[in-house]
This record gives sequence, structure tokens and C-alpha cells, in this order.
Amino acid sequence: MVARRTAAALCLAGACAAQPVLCQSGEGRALERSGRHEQAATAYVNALQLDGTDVAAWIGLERVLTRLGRLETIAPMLDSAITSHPANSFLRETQLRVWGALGQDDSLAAAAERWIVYAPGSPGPYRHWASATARRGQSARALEILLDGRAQIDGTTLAPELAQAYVMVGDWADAAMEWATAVTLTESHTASAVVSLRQTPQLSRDRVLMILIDPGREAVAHRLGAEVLVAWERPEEGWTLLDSALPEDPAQAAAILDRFAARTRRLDTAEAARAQGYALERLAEITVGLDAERARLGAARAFADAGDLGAARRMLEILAEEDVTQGDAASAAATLIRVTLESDKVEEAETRFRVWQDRLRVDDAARLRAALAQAWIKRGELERASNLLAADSSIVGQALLGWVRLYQGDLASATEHFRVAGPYARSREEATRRTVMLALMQSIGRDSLPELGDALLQLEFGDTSSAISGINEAVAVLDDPGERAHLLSLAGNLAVSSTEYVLAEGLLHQALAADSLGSAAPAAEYALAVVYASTGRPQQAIGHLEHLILTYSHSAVVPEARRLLDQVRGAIPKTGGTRPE
Amino acid sequence: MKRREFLHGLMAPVLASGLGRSVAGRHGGVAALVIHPQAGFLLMPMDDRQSDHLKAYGVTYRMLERGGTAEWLLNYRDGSFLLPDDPATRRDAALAGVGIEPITGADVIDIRGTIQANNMDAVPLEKAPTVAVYAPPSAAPWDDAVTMALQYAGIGYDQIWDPEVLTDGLADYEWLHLHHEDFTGQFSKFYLTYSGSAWLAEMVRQNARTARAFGFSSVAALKKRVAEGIRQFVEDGGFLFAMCTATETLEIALAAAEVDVAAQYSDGTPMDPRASERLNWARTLAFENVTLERSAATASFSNIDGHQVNNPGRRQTLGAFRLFDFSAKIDPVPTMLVQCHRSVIPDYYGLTTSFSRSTLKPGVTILAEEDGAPWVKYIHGEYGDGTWTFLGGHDPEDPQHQIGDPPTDLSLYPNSPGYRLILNNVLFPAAKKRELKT
Repeated sequence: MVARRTAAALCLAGACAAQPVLCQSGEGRALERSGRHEQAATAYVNALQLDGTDVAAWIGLERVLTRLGRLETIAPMLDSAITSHPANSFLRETQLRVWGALGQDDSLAAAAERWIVYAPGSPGPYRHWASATARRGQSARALEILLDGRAQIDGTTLAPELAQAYVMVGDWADAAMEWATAVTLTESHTASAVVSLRQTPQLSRDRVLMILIDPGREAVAHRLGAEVLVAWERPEEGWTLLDSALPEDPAQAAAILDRFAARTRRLDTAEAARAQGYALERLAEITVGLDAERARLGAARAFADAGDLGAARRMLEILAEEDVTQGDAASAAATLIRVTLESDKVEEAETRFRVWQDRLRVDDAARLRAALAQAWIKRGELERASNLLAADSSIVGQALLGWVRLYQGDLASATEHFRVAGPYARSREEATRRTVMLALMQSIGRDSLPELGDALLQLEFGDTSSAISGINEAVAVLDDPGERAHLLSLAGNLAVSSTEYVLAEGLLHQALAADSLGSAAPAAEYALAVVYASTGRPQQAIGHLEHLILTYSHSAVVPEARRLLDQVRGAIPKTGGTRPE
Repeated sequence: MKRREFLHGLMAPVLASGLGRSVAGRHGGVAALVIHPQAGFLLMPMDDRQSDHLKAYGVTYRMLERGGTAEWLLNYRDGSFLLPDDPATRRDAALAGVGIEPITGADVIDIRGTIQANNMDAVPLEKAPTVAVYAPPSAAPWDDAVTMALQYAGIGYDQIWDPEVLTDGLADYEWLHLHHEDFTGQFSKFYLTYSGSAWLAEMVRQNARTARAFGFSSVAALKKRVAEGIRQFVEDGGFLFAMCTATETLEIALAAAEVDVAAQYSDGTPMDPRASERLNWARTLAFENVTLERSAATASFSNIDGHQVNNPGRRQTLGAFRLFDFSAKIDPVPTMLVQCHRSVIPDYYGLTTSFSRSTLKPGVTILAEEDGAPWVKYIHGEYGDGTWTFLGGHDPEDPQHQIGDPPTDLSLYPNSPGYRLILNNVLFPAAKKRELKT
């Protein structure tokens, strides 16, 4: 084996000697990227002939020889390089990694021992020996090596490595103690510690937390506990802990608060948003100028997302009192208006909106105008909604104005606004509702029907019963049987959706009696079948569904009718199964 | 119509087609539709223009039930059906949402020309087969891909179980389907892993009660006798279609007539340690030289299944299987069984997902396989006067079905190619054909 390795090394060295001009690690990387691994290996060896400590060349050579399945050929070269440069820790580290990758435990141990003898008191040999051992899946042995290193050096060395090793063997309490030690020595280990301890099993979490927040430990360990709590999706507990462990130095505290807020933002829960709000509010208190404004604005948004509208308004009112910069002020104003509206203070929200509307971002202004108009519609204040939307030519504005006109009974104007709005304004469900209303208005040959507008406004308020009564009043003023059938079918469908089956059955029969051949008939007959299917009369449901499918074969309700027919006949399941494969 | 009659029908004289006068199908006046150039017909296309492939089988089946005849146009527009134009069929197709194309006798003559010139054939369908599904009385239709397909297509069937098999009840049926029954009597080997589950307790109770009622010492002994009844059904001319575990365990139960293959929890005695060597594969339909899984805790029966879904160390990933392209005029039966609008279908697991090539008997016809894999998916063969077809896997539209998963709603998969394979099997016993060459 030794002879073959030497021969391989000589062979590679020979290639180097033949083409000294190519002995550059950059050339090796280029060859490697183009997939020419043999040539890349030669180039890396040539580079190492020129400089036996060229880190890039060693790494490249290790990489390509691994791909070529000839990693063992690097070993004699490393031996030779270490002889020439015994203090070079990179070479020693590479040697341990190579022996580990080759599965040569004896050679790995011997190389590590030589390094320890050469550099007594250095944690490096233990760190890399343990790392190579752990990579081979020997976690317990890696832990032994690190504990031996600590015993040889001092009581706090190798803390991060030991913490990782304890995690690998499932000893979470010792892992927490080592991470607490590690962050106390170097706070920058916090991020690694959080990633590591986030995996703590549920049963071990209380124990880990008690170790981190032990009063005898430094505040930095408590701050680690706070971040770990966020990682365990307990952000409010995390904030409580962090609040009591912030450092005196404002700059350091600001960095910690910023990081905590960023961590809570990733959770996307109301509790996390509230914790984020608290952290940013505190950040605003310890910073000044633009930083404070941004923190306060962020806090307002977080509180609003958490549903804590009082706290959000408190933040925004402070901002409004301060001389904030233009962009942030507009953003803050938009958030304040939204929060005010969500607090059901429509009047106040509109007042603020009218003050700010010219300075808001265009999309913020459009969104708030629509939300305000919708709020007025919900309150039945149709004129106020209309006034807000008067100058709004956007498709969303047109869609809303269409609803206002419909509720006012102005069918001609509503039809026009809905047509202008088209199919893409607002959500898909909302677009479908508009289409249904357009079809209904088209089937009623009138420009105005205030009774229908009133009835549909009741529906907007969520009062289906009053809506059905109102539709009946509208039916009473119509003479045309087809128009009457459409409104009766609508009322019947509303009754079905509120499970008022007796009422629905009567209305739908009236609709079919008014006009059994017109365009309202398929929907009425389908709804009637739903009533029968829902009230234990499958044969009657089947009769109506078959009649519907055969009579109105091109109607849009036929696919739904076929599906209901399958369900009523038992051809498709209604509930989940519970048997094995 | 048992297979004996089926074969008899194959011998009917083939009448040549003629134009401009009364034209009979190539299968003669006995079975084929009589074609007049001005007559009306309904072509039910089964290619991508069909809106509901699965219900098309139901429309055809019900037409046969009403005493009509039809033709299955093998490989013509992916296995279309040709039916006489009548109001009942039009109504049925409209209600089911099945696409039909009204055509004239002259169009049919053109179609015949196309069929003659290509790898296609026209097979007369004469009589709706009587269908039985072997399942416990408590089983809902949604437990089984075949009953789901039959329910969805609107094809009537009777549910039978051990008492019917043991009392010659199978004689009343032409087509029998088996799904996830465990004929080794080990309750699908879920006894240990699902102990405490209500459904398992009910399964054990039901089977034990039946075994006691018929004087068997154990459920394993009962199931061996039931397996023998099913084997006899096929030998006497029945059409057997099995999926999932039923394929594998039926064969093991038949081979184990004299060998204890059941774990101790099932029959009170441990499995014969030399069971694999002592099995008698002369009595089975499809497999031979099988090695049994000896662990009672592993929900796997043998090396018949290539995928071993419940065996973590041996579980294989799902691929896709390809339907074999048979010669329609020479091998009409396998051709019928693989009629589909897709030739490659994504695979799906079951307790038995596939069949290892190394365990297949030499005469077995492979209908579908995964290219390059050591397993096949869909197989067919003859036994005595009957035929059997085995399809691996549980549910073609739920590839990783788990216990407790909601059932598949076939109205969401009306064009499922996997479910078409199942329905091909239901309809093929309705065919009257020439002598099988396979």
C-alpha cells in the first residue's frame, strides 16, 4: 500500500515537473469546474510543489481525489509537508480529516497524538480529532476525546465542541451547561447555541431552561435562554426573560433587541408579533432619531398584527407627535389609519385618511380607501361610501361603487360599474359574487328596483332572514314570470344556505311554478334537489337531478348536479374510511 | 357466462364485412352489431375526448344488462365502445356525463376498415357478467378500489364472504373480485403493530366467529378452505380478479394446504420453520419458488411483493409502470385488459404492490411492468376452464394510502387510467371472442 501511494505521489509530482507553468491552484480550480478531475489533481499537486502550504491547493486536491476515489494518495504528501512545516495547523487538521475520511482510526489517533505532543495546551488537535471521529458516526468516542482535551488544558476550553458532542449523544443538560459556558466566554456563539438547543426534545426542555436561567449564571446565558424560548415558539416567555437580562450598554442592548425582534418575526403568530412589538418598543426607547422612528413604526405594525390595537395606536400617536421623516410618517399614518379602522372607529379613520391621502403611497391609499368604503357599506352608510369612491377610477373602486349602486336599487348604474370592474378586481370569490349579481340584474329588465337593493343590503349585514323577506317584497312588484322566478330562486338558495329547508322548498317550488322553462329553472331545481337530499328524500332528489341534467344539459349547474346525483346514489363517498390497505 | 361458454363463442364463424347491404361485424351475426348504412349508432370514445372514462364502462354494462349488445373496439381511440343508438343509452350517458358521438352505419363501416388495417379489433359484448366481491359484511365500499369503481360506474355487485364461498355460493357468479383479504389467516399481519385498534379487534372477532361456526380450528384453517373454494371457482370457468394482498396471500394459502404458515398469535402454533421449503406450488395460479417472511411483526408475507412497503429495510420507491402493447387480433384478452388512454401509469403502494419476476410461473402473461425493475405490476393467466388477473397495489389514485386516510372520491378522477384497468376486468367477461392465442 505504501509503495503504491508513493508511486502515485511520484507520478503526480512527475506531471508537475513536466509542466511547471501550469502549477497554480487557480488552474486546478478551473479544471475541476470543467469536470476534468484527473488534470485538476495534477494541477493542484504542481501548485503544492511550488508552495507546500497553499491552502486552496490542499483543499482542492482533497476534493478531487475524493471524487476520483483515490484520497489515500494524499496521505504521504501530507506527511512530507508536515515534516517541512510542523507548526502549520492547517496541514495537521487536513491530515486528521483525511485519515478520518479513509476510516483509518489508528492512523487518525497517531497523527492527533503527534500534534498534541508538538503543541501541548492547544485545543486544536482535540477539536479536529473529535470532529473527524464524529463524522464517522462515533459520537461517544468524539465526546471522550474532547473531555480528555479539557482535562489536559483547562476547565472551560472546547466548550462549543463539547456542547455539540453532548447534543449528538442526547445529553441535553450537559449540552446546555457547555453552551452557557461558551456564550459567557464569547457571546458570538449564541447563534450556534440557539440552532443546537432548538432541537431539545420536549421532555428535556424544562431542565435545559433551568440551567440557562440559573441565577448564578451571567446575563448572557439568560439572553441565550430567551432566544432558545423563541426557537421553541414561546416568544412571550422569551421576551420576559430578555427584558430582565439586557446589558447596560445601549448599543449592545440595541443589537440584542434587533436580533430578538428578527427572530420573533419568523414565527408568524400573534404571540410572536406581540413579543416583537415589545422588543421594538424597548429598542425605540434606547435609540434616537431615525432608528427610534423605525423601531416605533415596526412596533406599531407588530402590535397591529398581534391584534393589540391599543398598543399599536399608542406607538403611532407618539410618532405623529414627533417630527418624523416624510416616508416613515406616511407609512406610520397608513398603519395608524388601518389600526383605527380595525378598532371600528370609521369616522376617525376617515378623518385621518382625508388628511393624509395625498401623501400616502398610492397602493396604501387605494387599499385604505377601499377598506373605508367597505366599512361604510357594512354600516349602511351608502352615501359616505359613495363620496369616498367618487374620484376612484381603479377597478377595485368601480367594483365597490357597483355594490353601493346595487344596494341603492340603481341596477343600471350597478351593472355599468361591475362591467368596468371586470373579473379581476378584488378576490376570486368577490368576482364570482359580482358575476352572479350581473346575471341577476340582466335577467330583470329594469333600471331600478329599490326593494331588491334593500334586500341585498340586509344580506350584506348578514341578516339572511330579512334579505329573504325583502326579496319577496321585490317579487311582489314584478309582473314578468321569468323575473319573478329569478328572484324566488335567489331567495330559495339563500334559505338553503341557512338550512331553512321548509322555507326553501316553498320558495323554490314557487320559482319553478312561475317559470319552469326559463333560465332560472336549472338553479332552482338544483337547489330543490339539495333540499330533498338534505332532508332524507333521496328519490325526489334523484328525480329532480335527472330532470335537470336531461332538460337543461347545457346549464352551468349540470356538473354540480351530476356530483350531487352521485352522492345521493352512493356512488361516491361522503365521509372518510378507516380500514387498512 | 363461464369461460367454457366464452371459448365456445370464440369459435363462431367469422362473417366477412360487406358494403351497401346488411353488414355484419367481423365476429359474425351471432354477436356483433348488425350494421345498416343508415342505422344509428353511438360511439363512446375512450381517448382524451372522453369526459368520464369510468362511467363509460357503467353505461356499456347497463346496456348489456338491458339485453342489448355492444362492441369493444380494441385499440380504436384507446378502446372505444360501439353501441346501438337507443333512447335509454342516450339518457344514461347524459345523466352520467359520458361523452358519446352519434354515428351512422356508414361511419361504422369506415371504422371497421380502420380496424382491419391496424393493430385493432372489434369484440362483441353480449351479456353483463354477474359480479361478486369477496369482502367482510362490515366492509364499506370505500375500503376497496374495485368496489369504489363499481359504485362510481354504477355496476351492480353482490358482496359475499366466507360462508357463501364455503356453501357453493360462488357458482351463482361469473366474476369474482378479491382485495385486501389475508388468506393466510394472519389479519394482514397487523395483529402486533395495530393491537388495540377497534377495526382490527372487529376483524379478528368476525373471522374467529366464522371459523367456529364452520368447525375450523383456527382462522388460518378457515381461510385455507376458502382459498381452495376460490381456486375451484376458477378451475370451473370463473373469472377471478384480485388486487393488493389478496393476490399474494391467496397463492400462499393454496401452496400451504399441508403446511403451517401462520404465526402463533393466529392459530396457536408457531409457523413451520421449514415452511418455505415445504410449500406446494403445483396448486397455485401465478407464483412459485416463494420465500415466506418469517417475522410475525413485519406486515409482509413473502418475496412475491417487490416493493415491501411495510418493511423499512427492503422498501422500494414508487416508479411508473408501462402497459404492454399486445396484438389485438391475436391476443384479444390481454389487449382488452390493457385498454387505456395512457400507456405509462404512476405506480401506487399496497400491502402487496407488485410481483417479483423471479416468483412468476412460466406461463404467466405480464400485462404491465416497470422498465428495468425486478418486479411487474399486472399479470394474467388461465387456470382450468377459468382465468385470473392480478393487479398490485391498493388505490391507483392514492399512491401512499394509509390506514384511516379518507376514501378516494372518484368524481374527482373520472379519467383515472389506473381505475380503467380495474373496469377493463369487469367488462372483459362480457366479451364473446375467437379462440385465445395467449
